Amino acid sequence: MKSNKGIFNKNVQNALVMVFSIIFGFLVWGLVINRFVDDLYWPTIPSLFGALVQMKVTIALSIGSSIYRTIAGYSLGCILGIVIAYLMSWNRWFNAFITPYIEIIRPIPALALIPFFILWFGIGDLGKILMIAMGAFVIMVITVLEGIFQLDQIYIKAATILGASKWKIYKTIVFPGSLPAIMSGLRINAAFSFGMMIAAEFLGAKTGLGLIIIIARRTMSTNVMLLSVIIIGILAFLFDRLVLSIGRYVTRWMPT
Amino acid sequence: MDKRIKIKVEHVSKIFKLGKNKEVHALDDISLNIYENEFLAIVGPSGCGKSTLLFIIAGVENTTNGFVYCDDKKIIGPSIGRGVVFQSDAVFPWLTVRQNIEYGPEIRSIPNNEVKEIADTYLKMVGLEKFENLWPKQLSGGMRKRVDLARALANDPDVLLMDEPFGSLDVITKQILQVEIGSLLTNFKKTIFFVTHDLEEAIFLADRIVIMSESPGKIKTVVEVKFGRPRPPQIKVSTKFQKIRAELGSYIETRSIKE
Repeated sequence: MKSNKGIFNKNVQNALVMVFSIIFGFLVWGLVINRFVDDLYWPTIPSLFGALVQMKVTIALSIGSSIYRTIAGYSLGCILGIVIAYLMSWNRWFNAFITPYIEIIRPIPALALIPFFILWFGIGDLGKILMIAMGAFVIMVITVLEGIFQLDQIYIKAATILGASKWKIYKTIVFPGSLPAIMSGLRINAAFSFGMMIAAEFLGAKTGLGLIIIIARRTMSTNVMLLSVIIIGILAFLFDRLVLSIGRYVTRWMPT
Repeated sequence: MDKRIKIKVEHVSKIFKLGKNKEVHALDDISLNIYENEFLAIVGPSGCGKSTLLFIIAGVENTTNGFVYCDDKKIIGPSIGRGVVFQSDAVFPWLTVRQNIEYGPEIRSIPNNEVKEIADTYLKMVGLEKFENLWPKQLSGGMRKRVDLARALANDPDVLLMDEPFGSLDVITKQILQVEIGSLLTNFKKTIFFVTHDLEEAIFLADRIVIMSESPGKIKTVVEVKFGRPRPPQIKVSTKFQKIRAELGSYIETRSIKE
């Protein structure tokens, strides 16, 4: 017997089931959950849309400032991490000098330092950006260093024999060879930075999605809380997909 | 035949230290001349130090004792005059076939149009024109070997060091490449140092064969193969070929019986 009997192929079948699953979820939400659970604990779908319409300006502005902090901190931390990792592998003296500091900050959850950053930089953008950057930096340094370390030495040997200088080897071998590690660091940090941003906004902010959640909690506006969470989820998902597709493109040479 | 010495290996020893009290004599007092434009094969069991000797000649491995000279100059580091074809996959996976071949000329800052011409020449020579824009992962093992060879040749080295280049290939691909590359290399004026553990491959390709023993790596004997080059594949079944095969085989076999 043929495994594929229907008029659609397997991919279309899977997609249809997924669409059905989502509709089913909304039906359960609207018809079952909201009937038995109080609005205070889980909002209704109409109240969610009501919150969106009512607060669209505040939400738009908050999305803007939250994205700005996340992207700024993420970029700063990742770029710095990559640069420091290359310098550490380039020069053993520099490596020995920096390693203790990396090892000291590595086990400390970046979240634990948020109060310090608020103390030093206040509750504005700068503190949050530096906070996210520091966390992203540590993850990046370690991931990239590991990637450089794991690079097959035969490529460096081959390049040396073909006449490459140390600088050329970094440019043409170490850099592309560590791209898979860089991309995985960028992806880990994409998720990490969003979490960091929300946590930093919880503990003190003038704007942002994290702040909206905190304020909504005080007034028990569950619909606004959930709406913010959904928006954060969508943003984090889109950012992850963006990083993932860039990563897939720049490492398309990789044997699977 | 001109007998100018291209590479002179003088009393070279190499000791690898493994831990505190353990040492491995990879090479023990090796002296060897490689003449200009000759195809020299070096045969020995795995771990006899033949690849170590190759990388010493390439200039990326130090000796413990002794020196190697190329054109009477002491080898102190790698030079574009000495190219290497590797045993394992050493083709850069992040570069296309063409970019791999262009690598040597490009990092030497040769003008772009010349780099392109060089790549065209060698792509054609190894028969990969149609595959120039593919990634190495899209090629078969045999094709990647051709890229590796073309990449080494693109620097136009006088000396080509080949480290068991066909060792990782299947028997059929290996035989095809032996014939193809055997005849391709006779068109060049190049000194070739070819490491292998395959006796027939050595007899089929080389002008002279050095037999090595293992631990410590020493030269057992040197045999001349008096066939012209390039050689047709049928030569492998000739009586003369089999006679050399038997003679060389006896050196290898005495070793294995003794141990």
